[in-house]
Amino acid sequence: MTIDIGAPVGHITKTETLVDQMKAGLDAPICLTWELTYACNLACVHCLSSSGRRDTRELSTEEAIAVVDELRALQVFYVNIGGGEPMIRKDFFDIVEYATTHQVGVKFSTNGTYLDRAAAERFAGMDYLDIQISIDGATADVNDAVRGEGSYAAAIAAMEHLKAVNFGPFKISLVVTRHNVDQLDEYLALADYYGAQLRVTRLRPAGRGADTWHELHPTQAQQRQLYDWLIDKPNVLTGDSFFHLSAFGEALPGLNLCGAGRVVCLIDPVGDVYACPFVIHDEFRAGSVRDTGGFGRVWKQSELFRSLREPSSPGACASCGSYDACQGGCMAAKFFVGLELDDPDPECVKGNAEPLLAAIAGRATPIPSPDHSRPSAVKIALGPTRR
Amino acid sequence: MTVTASMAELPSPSDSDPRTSTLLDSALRLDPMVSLRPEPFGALAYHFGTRRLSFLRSPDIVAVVNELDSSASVSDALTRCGINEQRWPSFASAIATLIGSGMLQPALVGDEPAAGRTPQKEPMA
Repeated sequence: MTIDIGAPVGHITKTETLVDQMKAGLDAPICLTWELTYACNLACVHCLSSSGRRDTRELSTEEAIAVVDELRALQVFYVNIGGGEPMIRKDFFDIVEYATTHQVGVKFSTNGTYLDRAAAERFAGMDYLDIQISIDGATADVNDAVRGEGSYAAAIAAMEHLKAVNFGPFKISLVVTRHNVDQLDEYLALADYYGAQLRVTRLRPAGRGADTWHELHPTQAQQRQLYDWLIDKPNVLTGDSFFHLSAFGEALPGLNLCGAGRVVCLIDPVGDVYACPFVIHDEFRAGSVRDTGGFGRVWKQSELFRSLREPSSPGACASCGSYDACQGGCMAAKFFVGLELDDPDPECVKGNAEPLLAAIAGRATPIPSPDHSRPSAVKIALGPTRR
Repeated sequence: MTVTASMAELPSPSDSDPRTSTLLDSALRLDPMVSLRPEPFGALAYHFGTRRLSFLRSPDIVAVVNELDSSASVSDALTRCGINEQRWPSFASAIATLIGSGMLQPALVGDEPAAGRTPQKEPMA
């Protein structure tokens, strides 16, 4: 999605005004992630939602349709559907077709395993539908090391199907790690080959990513490299996820703020509402779509969301000249590595988090919850880091 | 999400700017694929075809945009909304941005004022 900040009329003309309005929260989210299932055929080592096994309390088809109806009433113009692997749900097409024919556009993320020719043809016949294929390495070896053996081939096969049926421009989505950051140009070539748009997002220490973040997140030098690359490629989508890098200088395109509970939130497969897709933890659970008043009441009235819309203090970042640029970074990243929410981002480009991280090394960090990992899932040999 | 501050790149229209008077005379309509969502600051405009989201950053511009459908020209809509003429250039500027992002389009000759704002299904761009 593209956002035009637009022109204010007749009063203050500063962009900050809009950002302030965003911080105070909108009447409904503009970027809502809806994870349809915790079931997944893969076991990616950095999965934000620790997916694997289906949750028996998963929303039924009727409940999912009711959620769509409510989103339509709230004029949530589109949702980002994910999981788990959303295509595993038997009613996946029913839910997506209902949404896209009821003024709730869908962008869904898939690992591609179930995207065969028949599915591609069905997608090609639908309006208001965007598809995002996840690949975390431009080559099979780099990708499969985090997403599992055969996952690169599955994603490529899915893209071939989309290309064959002339679906149009879909998206290729990658999470930047220290192993794929040198492959960004190769990714762009891959996207160009398929007529796809490239979307790069930030690795968060959430879900199973809490266990692997220390091995996978880009180094300081790589962060600079990534920043320079993004500045040079303004057409690459980022989901506004690298605003902590704006402290390097020129701001990256985007709102450059943490949207959690303000413009962004997550509905999980059992209907629980969290502040953002990266904080699936009781502390950031605002309520459930199953509660009286449904999603709308959670969004407007939950104590958690109301507190996130209060002005926040720069805390430990107050004395840093870059706070206006990076806003202290990502709440979820701080939380899961054990920092306070007003501490610097663990990947602070000024290195301001390093002494704090050193000071808390060895202490217990919050355990992402709930965990739907399959017990049988083979642990990929990155080495355990859980403290 | 991607944000483009397209307005910043446009010259600021003024009373003497011929583009402003042309724009004020033109008949415009909200694209049928656009929905407006009221917000405390004004409204969000979402284009279902291009997936663009724009911010209408004052209740007055929302009123004017809503009035365009039943107005013969932009200046007609501004008058009907009671907008002081001194403020017209800034409204012209905001409307130019909305044309640029595809939210507004020229009204066809003989266009009836729209009854509702239900987006039409159209093939994906």
